[in-house]
This record gives sequence, structure tokens and C-alpha cells, in this order.
Amino acid sequence: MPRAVVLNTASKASTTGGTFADTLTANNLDSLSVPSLQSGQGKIIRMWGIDSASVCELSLTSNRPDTTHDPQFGIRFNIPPNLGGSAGTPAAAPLLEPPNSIPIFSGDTLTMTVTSTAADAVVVSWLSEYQDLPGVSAKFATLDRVQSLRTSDIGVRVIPVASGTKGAYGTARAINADDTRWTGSRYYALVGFTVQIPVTTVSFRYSGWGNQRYGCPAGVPFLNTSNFFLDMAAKYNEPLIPCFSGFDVGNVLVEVADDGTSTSPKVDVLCIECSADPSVGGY
Amino acid sequence: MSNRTFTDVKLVAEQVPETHRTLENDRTITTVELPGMVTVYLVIDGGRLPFTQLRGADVLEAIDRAGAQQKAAQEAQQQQTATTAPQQPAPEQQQPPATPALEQQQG
Repeated sequence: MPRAVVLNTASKASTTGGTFADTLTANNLDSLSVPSLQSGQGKIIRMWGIDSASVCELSLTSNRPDTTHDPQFGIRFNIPPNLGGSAGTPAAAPLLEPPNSIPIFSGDTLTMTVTSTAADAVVVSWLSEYQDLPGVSAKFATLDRVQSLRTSDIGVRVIPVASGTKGAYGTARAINADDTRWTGSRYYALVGFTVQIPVTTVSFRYSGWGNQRYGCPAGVPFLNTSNFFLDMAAKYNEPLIPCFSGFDVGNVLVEVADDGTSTSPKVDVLCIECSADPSVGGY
Repeated sequence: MSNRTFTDVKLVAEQVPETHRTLENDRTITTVELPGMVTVYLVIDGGRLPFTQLRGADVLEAIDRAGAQQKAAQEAQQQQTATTAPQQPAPEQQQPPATPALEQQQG
């Protein structure tokens, strides 16, 4: 029963504008399709979105009414502009927050259309949880387990830069590229991070999570990113804290996607160092 | 203390670019200059106070867009000026004398 939590992002760099006239497309490595699930269910547990300059409305539809009510507009979400009060550094708006979640089903495809102003950039990211995703046995831990194995806390600087194309992920940067104070024989539980500049989505990718993305937004509505993954674990009462081995830090990749080009948020990753693997099934 | 009015109030923007370095696998360092951030200051009687901060890329994009629009407007104006300018009257063409054969046919 390999469990997985996966981050996906869909975006459009420059909308044509008009009533639900633009359809978002999945970013590189991401997908709007629900993977083939052997058993168990999937659900979207969190979603956030941004428009670079103006008001925006998102319509989320799916193949079946169990997910979204109807194929016309499904679930409509508003995205207010310039959250945070500055026109140049808007932050993502929360769209779906715990304890709410939306069930999704094997092989279904999500469709995201937006009403926006011409030439805006729109980015939407969401976290999906799958009870049984073949080929993936993601290393996620509970807070209790992480705390019981804690040896220390560490904050590490990593400096990924968003793409020159609005909404797209920039070049992946290893979590040890800018700060190498990791210890090989230890395990690390990623509890959150802090940034200097708001950014729509910070993605972490690791072979121990099936090379799937995991991540969260950073900006005014999400000021408490230093505990983001820890909060998720507490709110859902599930193992949602991602873990990795100190020997693998070169394979933990950090990427950022934003509604602007070349945003450099300067991520300080906050981890709890553990003496053994704290992940569920890892002990 | 009486109320004070400040009349010398203006905005000043300053761009602070960012130098982004990456250590490559071959141990070389790649350096990329990023647009960084633009800080807008409110200047009151010479005193600078941070007012807001904008992404450098957004500011440069807006400036480029404004430049392109201005250029397009100038070109359009030039084109309009060229088409509406009074045209030189064409020299009057002299009617060739009617040929006798034509006169015969008409007659």
C-alpha cells in the first residue's frame, strides 16, 4: 500500500482574457490527470492560486460529479489580486484548505479554466494524497515519531530561482547546493521553510518520495511556512512530514514557480534532524 | 509643537540586482545576474523612507512595455502624418491632338 502526497501545478504565462477563456496547462513533470490507482482513494488536500495583476476566477471541473458538481463550472474559486498590498509582489490566495478536501478518482482529468485580464499570468498549485500509488512509497512521518527521534534542528539556505517564463518552474537546485551542513548518517524531517520574497509555489522533489513533488506556497496568507508540513500533519492527523536521508541531500531538489519571472525567494529550509528514519514504514 | 507641513515630497526607486552563483558539477561557478528587487522610497524633505518593494523583473517588463507602446504610437503618428500631408499636384497632362483617322471615324 504505497502512500504518496504529490504537488502539481498548472499555469498560463499570458492569458488572452475573457470569461473562462483560458485553460491552464500542467507545468513540466506535473499533470492534471489523476494517476492510475490500484486501490484506495485519492483526494486534493490543499490548493492555492495567483493572478499576477488582476482579479481572477478559476473554474475546476472533473470527469465525474463525485469530484466537482457539474461539467459547466464545477467549483468556482475567486483569486483576489495583489494579496499583501504590493502590486509587484502578490502572494497566492488559499483556495482549498484543511480540513476540507475533494475526492479524486483513478484516471480522471481535472480541467482548470480562468476568467482573467489579458496578459496576466495565472498559476494554480495543489497537493493530492493517494492511499495507494503504485511505484511510490513516499517517506512521510508523523510529528510524534519525528520528535521521538530528534537529535537537533537545522535551518539551511537554498537559493532556487523561478523560470524566465511566468508560472513555470525554474532550474532545480539541490538542497545542499548553497549550504552543506548536512550529516550523512542522519535523517531529516522537513517541517517547513521561510522566504525573503513571496513566491507562488516552492517544490521539493526527492527519489524517496517517488520523485514526486511536494511543496507549499509562501506569501502573506501563508506567513507561517516554517511549520507548514508539520501543521498539515497535525490538521489531517496523518504522516505528512516529508523525510530524507542525509546521504541523499544531493537528490533533494528545490524548485520555485511564480507569477513573475526570475523570482529569487531565497529559501531557508527548516528541518528536524533525526537519529533514525522517522518515516512510516521506515522503522 | 505646531503642526508641520512637508512640501518637498517625492518618490524615488532604486533597483538592487542579484548575482546568483551556481557551483556546477565540474567545479566551475556559473554567475547569472538577476533583476532582483526595486525598492520605492518616499523622500520627505530629503529623508528616505522605504515605501514598497517591487520585483525587478516586473518593473523592467513594465518599462519595456511602455517603451514599445510609445514607439508604436510614434510610428502610427508618423504614418498618419505622411498620409494626410498635402500631395503635390500632378503636372497637367496635355491632350494629344486628335488623329485624323479618329476624326474620320467620329465624323
